[in-house]
Amino acid sequence: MKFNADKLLWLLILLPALPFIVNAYLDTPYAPADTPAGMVSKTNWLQNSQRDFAPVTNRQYQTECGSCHFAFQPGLLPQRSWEKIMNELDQHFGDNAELDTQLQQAILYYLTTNSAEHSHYLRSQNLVASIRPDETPTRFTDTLYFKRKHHQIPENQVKGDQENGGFSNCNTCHQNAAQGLYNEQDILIPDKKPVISTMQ
Amino acid sequence: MKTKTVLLLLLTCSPLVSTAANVVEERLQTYKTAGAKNFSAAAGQSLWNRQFEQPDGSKARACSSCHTTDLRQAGKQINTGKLIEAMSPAINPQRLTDAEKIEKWFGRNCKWTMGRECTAQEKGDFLKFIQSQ
Ligand code: HEC
Ligand code: HEC
Ligand code: HEC
Repeated sequence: MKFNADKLLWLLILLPALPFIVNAYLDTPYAPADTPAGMVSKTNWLQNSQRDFAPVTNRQYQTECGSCHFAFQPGLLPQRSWEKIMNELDQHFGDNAELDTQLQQAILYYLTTNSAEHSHYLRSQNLVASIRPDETPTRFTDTLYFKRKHHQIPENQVKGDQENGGFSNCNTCHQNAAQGLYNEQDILIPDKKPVISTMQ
Repeated sequence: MKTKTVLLLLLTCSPLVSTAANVVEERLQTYKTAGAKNFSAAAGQSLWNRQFEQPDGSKARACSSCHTTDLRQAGKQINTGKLIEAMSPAINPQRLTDAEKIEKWFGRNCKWTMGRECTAQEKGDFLKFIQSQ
């Protein structure tokens, strides 16, 4: 290839744009090999059919809402719950999770369009059905659905457990929670003993 | 052939644009225009470890509550138990490489820990301290 000043000029103009192009690509649902902890790394139909909740597919959400805790799947709460949570981020369960307006709006959009009532996953639909229309839970762990599934686990085993962070850290017990998998073969309680036998 | 060389050269150089050193330097300049000066890692360290009493009587809070006093070690989000990777850029090269991220966490963490925004001087001291670890 012949080298000339014209080409170099184009190169200089285009190169700085490269990170933005890559970034724009990464903002859309994606699945690269170096997936950050908590994001879906691979999808095949078999795994898909076993999933309990649709996994997280939005990188901004994963980064911003996965920095202090497990990034909960949007299908774990109805739209009105996400709206409430996203509108009081500076008073977030005793913490400050505020975002600038642009990010807040982008994440709100992702959450509401993928919320439980917009998910075709059976568990999300059952969850919605279990919440009274006049209720707006801000915790999945407060829902009747969650309580029914976890009533055999003694609360004091996880409540206020500084080491493991209580029930909200789904992935301390559900080893593949980030993939949207909550079924029994993946469960370990914090003391690292499988609990399936005692739980059934 | 030559174009390729230039391309490769520029590509290998571009990551250099946002190292911790560059980003911190740019931040410090910004804080200076806001009136801050003589940034000190020692002042940053003592503020980092200072316990702030809470008006509501809850447990006193410090930056070290979550990040620990040893920035080369991982810390833990005390409200959720989630691991926080080491703050030291020497151990964790991702740290202090994104001005927006730094300001976002200053915003949240200063308010949560100290009950107010950090001043430009305090932010500069913190950055000097974190960078020195
Ligand atoms: C600064 C830290 C921080 C950030 C950032 C953060 N959270 Fe939280 N979040 C918390 C804490 C603390 C709790 C309470 C944990 C507990 O009590 O176990 C919590 C709990 C929750 C719960 C309730 C979990 C349950 O079912 O018990 C939801 C839902 C939630 N966060 C959503 C979000 C969303 C959405 C974002 C992003 C906009 C976000 N969080 C970002 C700190 C944070
Ligand atoms: C302390 C450990 C622990 C934590 C934390 C925990 N779970 Fe569970 N979960 C279990 C156990 C054990 C079971 C199985 C209960 C049974 O089969 O009776 C279970 C069952 C479930 C089920 C039903 C699975 C099935 O096959 O029927 C779902 C869905 C679920 N958990 C979701 C969650 C979510 C979402 C979170 C986080 C908000 C969470 N869990 C946090 C231990 C935990
Ligand atoms: C309640 C827990 C908590 C407290 C207290 C806390 N932080 Fe943080 N901080 C975090 C979390 C979580 C992150 C995001 C960690 C990550 O990106 O891995 C963070 C990130 C940061 C960052 C961004 C670093 C980077 O470039 O990646 C800075 C700077 C910071 N904190 C400074 C402070 C200062 C200064 C204080 C005290 C005023 C403080 N923090 C107190 C939890 C806390």
